[in-house]
Amino acid sequence: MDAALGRALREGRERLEAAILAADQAAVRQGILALLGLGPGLTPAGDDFLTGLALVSALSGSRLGPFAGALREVLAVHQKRTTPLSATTIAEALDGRARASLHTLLDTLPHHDLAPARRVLAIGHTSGTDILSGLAAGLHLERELRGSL
Amino acid sequence: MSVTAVVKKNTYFDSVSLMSISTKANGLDGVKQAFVAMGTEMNKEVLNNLGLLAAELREAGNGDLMIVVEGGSDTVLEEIEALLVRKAPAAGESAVTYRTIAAAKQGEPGANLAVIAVNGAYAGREARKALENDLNVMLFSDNVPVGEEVALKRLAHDKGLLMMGPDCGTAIINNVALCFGNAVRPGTVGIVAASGTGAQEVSVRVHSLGGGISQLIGTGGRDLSEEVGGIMMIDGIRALAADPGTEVIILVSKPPAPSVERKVLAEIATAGKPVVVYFIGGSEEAVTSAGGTFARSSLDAARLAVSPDAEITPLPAPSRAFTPEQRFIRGLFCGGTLCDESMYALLNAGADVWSNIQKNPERRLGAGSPSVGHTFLDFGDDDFTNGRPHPMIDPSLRLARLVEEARDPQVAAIVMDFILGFGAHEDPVGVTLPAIEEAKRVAAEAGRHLEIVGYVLGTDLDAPVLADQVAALEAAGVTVTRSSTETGQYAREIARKAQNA
Repeated sequence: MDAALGRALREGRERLEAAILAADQAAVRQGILALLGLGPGLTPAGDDFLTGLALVSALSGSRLGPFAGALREVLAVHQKRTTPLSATTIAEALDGRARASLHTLLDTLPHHDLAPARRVLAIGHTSGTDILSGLAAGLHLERELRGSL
Repeated sequence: MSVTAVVKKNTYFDSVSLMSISTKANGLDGVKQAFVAMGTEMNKEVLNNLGLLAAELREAGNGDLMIVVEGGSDTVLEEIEALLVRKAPAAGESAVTYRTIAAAKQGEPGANLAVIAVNGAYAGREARKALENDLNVMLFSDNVPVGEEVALKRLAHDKGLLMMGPDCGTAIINNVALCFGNAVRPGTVGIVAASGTGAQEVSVRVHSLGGGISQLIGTGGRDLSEEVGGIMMIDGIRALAADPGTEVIILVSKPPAPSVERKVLAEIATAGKPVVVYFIGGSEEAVTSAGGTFARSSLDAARLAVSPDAEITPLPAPSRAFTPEQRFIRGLFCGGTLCDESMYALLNAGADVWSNIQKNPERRLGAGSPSVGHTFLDFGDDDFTNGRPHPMIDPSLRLARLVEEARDPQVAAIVMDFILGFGAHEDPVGVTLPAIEEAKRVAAEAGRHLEIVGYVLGTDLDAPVLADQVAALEAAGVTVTRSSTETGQYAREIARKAQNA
């Protein structure tokens, strides 16, 4: 069961990242749907990952605007596909609202300080890891979307 | 391999206990694998692909907890249930609690009104969120900056929504009383009110005269100020004018700023329905020339709206003799408008009255000051409620003051109100009776008759029932008045008699 979930999570994540880079909005929506509500825990792991991405997309100057738009659309239509807590957390992250520890982490990224990241990892049982994974994926995508300078 | 599945409806565990349950389930005798997750579509799909989606899991919803166990002994189901019980002291089935207004609107798409009662510093922000989610708003909170009030009311106006408040304590929408309100019969009288207890009093008088309420729209106490400009009262009049269930409209307020009064009264002409105006101490000419019906008192307002020809018999004048020293009335009120109306009854008779809500700064008293001459106190005003609940809920300050006033040899009578209804104290008379007895005893020991006058604002439909509260007061030797207006008139008569003794 764990293996099957892990596989589904990895596939969903790869589909979503590829779709964002290809600027294929229909595929982005499919990728989001593949992750929404997926995984063990109170906030399913797929949702935690989406929360991380959503928070990056709310930063000023983000290139993830089209993804954020797709995520908003999917949430509006399919919010019943996940738990109310998860749906609310993702929706708030899209508006740039999240736990203080996540904001602290983003604010202090340039300082190469690991303490804020450790505090994020301490969220829930596995949620912190999954959100951090979403944040890192979002930052990688930002770099890819900007291209080589 | 056998598969056992348990679904817990609408159950949340914090994630750490959830994982601990999962770990322990994995450690149960003979269990090959245990899986704990929410019953979302995607999770069910994964189980389905593995051929593990048992019938009971198929039915699981996105708020339900699924526990799936492969293997285990014959008693594995009981063992899992035991883990859940031990780990879930506070969890279980319960009503949904929404943490944000947006989530509540999404969860209850049919909702169209939000009642907001958070600290004033945050109230404006929450009200804005509600309006942006197309919800009408009743904002109970006070201490919202006036600039924010104007911005919220303009936004609501542009969206065609009601913005009742800030500082709005009373409304009745579609026969449901919100915050402080009384149980009144449904009917055809619509009320727009800037004063909470004034609105309660008028709605209760309408009920007692045989009428009923279609809608009672509160505006908040500052709506008719120069800054706010009566935005909500004007929108309220228009809403009731357009409401087929409303046949007559009553406006209730303290006197508005003059420019705002003109704007509000100008709405009467286009309302297409009779409009009765009760602006405490307001001008008859302004109302009449605008085409409205002028009400002299709260009782008058209800009578004009329900049955203009009704004869209301006055209470017999007070008969007891006072000592030459007993010359003054002390009013101890929970309701601001009730205090105001009684105070105006004395002021209009030419008496000097001291109060914490006096307009004349020379006669204004603070919460800590002793009474002077005729003193009428509104215990619901900010200086008395700072840091404590409203006296409609917490009567302690007023009880202490009642006994204190009884010791003053200059006092002829003490006038009090008792407010029944939703949100109010469950037995306002009962909680006051010991202090009334004590006050009477103190006066009697000093050789004086102390007149105590009580008015119970409530209806036969309220809990506790009006008649029971009145009977309890009468049994304690209290003279019971039958309306806020009559309370003022009776206080004035006692003042006359006491001054002439």
